[in-house]
Amino acid sequence: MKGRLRTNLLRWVWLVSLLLLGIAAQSFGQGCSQCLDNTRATPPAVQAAYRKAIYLLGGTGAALFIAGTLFIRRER
Amino acid sequence: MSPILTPPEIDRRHRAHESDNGSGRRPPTDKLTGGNGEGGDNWNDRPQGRRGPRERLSQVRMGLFFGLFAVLMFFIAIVSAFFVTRASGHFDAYSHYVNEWLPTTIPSILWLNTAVLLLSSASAEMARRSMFREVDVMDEWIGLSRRTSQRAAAWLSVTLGLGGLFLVGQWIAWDQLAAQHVFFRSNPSSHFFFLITIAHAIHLFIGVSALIAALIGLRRSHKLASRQILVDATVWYWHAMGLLWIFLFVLLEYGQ
Repeated sequence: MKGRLRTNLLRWVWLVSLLLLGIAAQSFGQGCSQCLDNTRATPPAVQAAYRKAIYLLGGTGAALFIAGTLFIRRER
Repeated sequence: MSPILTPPEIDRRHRAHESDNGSGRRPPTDKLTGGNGEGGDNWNDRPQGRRGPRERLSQVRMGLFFGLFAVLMFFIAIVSAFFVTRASGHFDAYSHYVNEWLPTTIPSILWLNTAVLLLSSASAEMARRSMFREVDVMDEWIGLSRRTSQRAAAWLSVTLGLGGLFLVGQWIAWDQLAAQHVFFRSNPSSHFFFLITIAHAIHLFIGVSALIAALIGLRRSHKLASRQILVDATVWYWHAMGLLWIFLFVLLEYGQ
């Protein structure tokens, strides 16, 4: 009984996490207007560099999160 | 009524020895564990935190890997700033957009340093593997020899020497750049070159300290499991620093 409840809870946590991740990708985070203005004032090359940096940071963070989760699951 | 009357105390005693085969010996009633996973001797059935050296090794590895995740994120943040600064500039008095980034010529000694670090990683792996060679480990556990520790100490000493050589090589590279009047504040590019190489050298110096600690531990520690864990964690850290350096070196050599 307790085990099944835990499995269901974990399943819901996974579903909600995936949903939140999906929404985050589509929500076009706005940030503060000053940062937005500053970034818009820069040439396209700088904006591309910002994009690359965001992908690098976000991608590494996500990869580490997934690797960490799998690692913990394997060790349990 | 039964033709044979048995007093109750005799009957009870007989039942206690039902498996008696009549040889006159009492069969063992208290079964002692003889190893081989019998009688609750399986460490995996014990409560968490008391499952023996393998569990300790896993815990230490997990802690180390999560620490390394933090180190990796630190360097990724620097690399992200590197990309943005490389593309950034400012408007001068004539409204011209000026990019001050001048690529720094990477001293060729860094190639040699990279090869030295790769060699050191190989020798560290030899040390780690020698700590887990089953036959030698059994000998050492029983107390017949200290072959695993001696072999690992030899390989770790080689790693330590190569690590020291790498740090000296990095110092020579900084010296060569200084001779060309390229300093930390000369240019955004040189700024990042020094920032990345110095930050990595500091982390490698921590690795060198860990190697020294592991060498001392191999001599001083009485528990074989502790010696194995010490060498294993140190070598994994060393591998991580080696991999990180290859990534950073490729970035500095081809990413400017």
